Amino acid sequence: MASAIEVKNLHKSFGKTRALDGLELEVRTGEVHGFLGPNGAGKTTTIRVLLGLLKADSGSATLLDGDPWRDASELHRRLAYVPGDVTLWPNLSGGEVIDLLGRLRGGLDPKRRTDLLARFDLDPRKKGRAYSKGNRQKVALVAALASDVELLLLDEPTSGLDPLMEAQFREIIAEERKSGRTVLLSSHILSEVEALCDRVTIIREGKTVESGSLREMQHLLRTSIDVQLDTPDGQIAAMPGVHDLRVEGNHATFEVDTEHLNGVLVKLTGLGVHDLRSHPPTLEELFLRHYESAEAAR
Amino acid sequence: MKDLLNTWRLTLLALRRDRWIMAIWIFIIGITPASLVSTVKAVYPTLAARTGYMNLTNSNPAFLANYGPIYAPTVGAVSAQRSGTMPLIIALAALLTVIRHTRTDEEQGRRELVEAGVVGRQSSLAAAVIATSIASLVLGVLTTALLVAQGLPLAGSIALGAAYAATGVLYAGLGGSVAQLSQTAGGARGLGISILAATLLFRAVGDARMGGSGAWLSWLSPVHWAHQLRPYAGEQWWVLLLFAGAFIVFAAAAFALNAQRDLGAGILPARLGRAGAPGYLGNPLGLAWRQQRALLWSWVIGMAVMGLFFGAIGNSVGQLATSSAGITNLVDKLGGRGALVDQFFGFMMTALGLAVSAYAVQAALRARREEAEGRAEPLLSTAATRWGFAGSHLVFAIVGPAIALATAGVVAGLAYGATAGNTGAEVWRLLGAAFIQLPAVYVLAGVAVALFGLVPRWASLAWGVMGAAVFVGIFGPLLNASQWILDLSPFTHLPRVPGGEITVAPLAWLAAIAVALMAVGLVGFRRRDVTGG
Repeated sequence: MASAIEVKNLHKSFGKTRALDGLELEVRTGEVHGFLGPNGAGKTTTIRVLLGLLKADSGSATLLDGDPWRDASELHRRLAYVPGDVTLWPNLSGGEVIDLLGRLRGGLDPKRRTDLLARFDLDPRKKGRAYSKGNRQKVALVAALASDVELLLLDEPTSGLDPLMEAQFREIIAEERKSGRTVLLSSHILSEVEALCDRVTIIREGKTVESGSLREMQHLLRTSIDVQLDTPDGQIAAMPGVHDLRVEGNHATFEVDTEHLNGVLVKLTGLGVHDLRSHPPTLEELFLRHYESAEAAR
Repeated sequence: MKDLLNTWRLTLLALRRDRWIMAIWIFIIGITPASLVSTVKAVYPTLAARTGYMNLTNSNPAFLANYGPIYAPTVGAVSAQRSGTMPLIIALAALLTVIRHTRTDEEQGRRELVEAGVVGRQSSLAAAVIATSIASLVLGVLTTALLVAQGLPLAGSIALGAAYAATGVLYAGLGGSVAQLSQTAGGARGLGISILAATLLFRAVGDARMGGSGAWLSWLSPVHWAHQLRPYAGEQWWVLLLFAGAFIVFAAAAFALNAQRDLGAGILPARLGRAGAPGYLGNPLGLAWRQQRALLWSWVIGMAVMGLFFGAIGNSVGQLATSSAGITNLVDKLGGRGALVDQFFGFMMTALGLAVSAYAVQAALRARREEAEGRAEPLLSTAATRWGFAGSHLVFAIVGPAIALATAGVVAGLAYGATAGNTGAEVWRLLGAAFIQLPAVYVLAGVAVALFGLVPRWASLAWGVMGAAVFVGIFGPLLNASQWILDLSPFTHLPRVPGGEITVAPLAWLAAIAVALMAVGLVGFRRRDVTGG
């Protein structure tokens, strides 16, 4: 099994709203795969289709070599899911929910359960209605991570966690990767994906816009330049590969396509560089670019 | 006044949120007495006819327990008595409305959002009570106006409208109190409905013993107060003071409790749970048991209490029938003493069957509630199947009503047997009469399951179907509705037992319809998307 998840040309509409419009997604076995997109892009819908909670209108989805709709309950023994907005049974304690979900997946490791409760600093005796959003999320995370499964589907799992717990979460995911589990991590927090994922898929409005390893994507990126010149100048705008130029007196900020970086630098030195700062491309910018270009195209 | 800052804005918000549901119950309840007037005029056109009917009713404990007595042989008084269950329905509507706008809001975090704004500590509670009271007053005015339009005397029409409005206002205050006691909306509703059941029982038992010992029990029930305003029968306006006094007590208690407690807290404390799950909590059925058991126990207890009361007064129904020569004559015409007792129990079992169908619908809709509130998603993303999830809740919609009705039948049989003798036989007879209701109950549960499976967003329509069945059951015969309308309710098709003959065919048909509806619902759920609210 080379791919844990393979989604091809997936479509799903709710009434007139097109939630998924030809989505493609491939998650290889043993990798941590980032699933990125702005709110409402279709991340949760995709995961729900993969869980067999929603039936796709057209296209194909394969999960652990099975059909997520037809073989739902058998496949679910081999995976664990953490929803983005965790709702617990109000009259069940956190510990009861963890045990219930674990048993329903075919058992969980009691040692790991104890260990995770300690690491997440979670009191399992509180009733579901008494937990805060972050603590509800921890309950779902402990239940998922303490189960012995091949695949973890995590839908914005850290949206309610404080920075300390977020760090704890990253550490645990890194351990999971070492032990060979496959993880699909949906997120709109890019630093999280950057820190954890081998490959990413970026979606927007139900379509896949980019997919690949982070290294492969770097070449698509721009570098941000912040430069102080000797004289105010109008030449920068004409240089190839320059975008989003802003000039204030002698001070210019702009972005440049990485492939044109050298040419631009050469020309800049001719203008008398006083001070130059550049910062490396981040996924944030990649993401914003995809998002903004879509807005601009309308 | 700082505590009540911006109450009026919140009141408008509550009215805005409830505009449809309020309009519906105000309309349905408001037109009922007026729509009964023409039937009463047609069936009992003369004073003599009405006097005869009055004497018959007032000497029949089954009628008395169901609707209360008739206080004068006027068209208005007969119509008012026939709509005698209305105050109970108004009380229920008021109670649920106030709880929804107080404890439910608090439980779901909306009150926190509101109270972080410029509002007083008591504003949310006050707004809920005021909005419900406004709805009750509108109902009262509508009732009065429609009765006057039917040509009935003004004073009596005002009295009946005032009785309805006062009942609504009183139970709004009571709802405000119970909402403070329990930390959850479900708990508050349970508490409120238990109180309502008690008021029903006190009135039913007291009225059934009218003129005898124990008749004073009725006065413990505000529904009886509504009757005691005596519309069109020498209005007793002072009864309104009772309503006012009780409202002040309940409202003061509500505000006092609300002032003392923290947001989100109840007066009854919340406890820590277990650190791990007990053995049974490892499959969908175990989870459904955990979700459903409180409801099951409360119905079993409620049905035991109902069975006890009705069983205990069954014998006095028989005694009353032989207490005076005139009545004995009348009773002989109706089929003798035994027939009168049978008729009484027949009425009671139908009423309990209708009540239990509310339980069946609630238990069946639990699966939808789990789904709408997002708890089906984590469950169904495990190895739990759709069948397992939906089927587990259906088990409780099937077994629960059977246990509840069996409890009522057995307890009624024991209580009746203890006073009238022949306990063993009475238990079997009344258990049978209780079980006969089940096919009709299951049809309504089946409607809920089918809606859940096919059109989940409309699943609560099952309550409308159930309400229609109750309405047809109670008011259909009074309105002289044509047979096809009566036939729409599954309860119409049940044999009248005890006393009547048991025919198997209609029971088998109802059971088959119920099974078909449930199967359609389960298959539909397997094939559709899991959706949110």
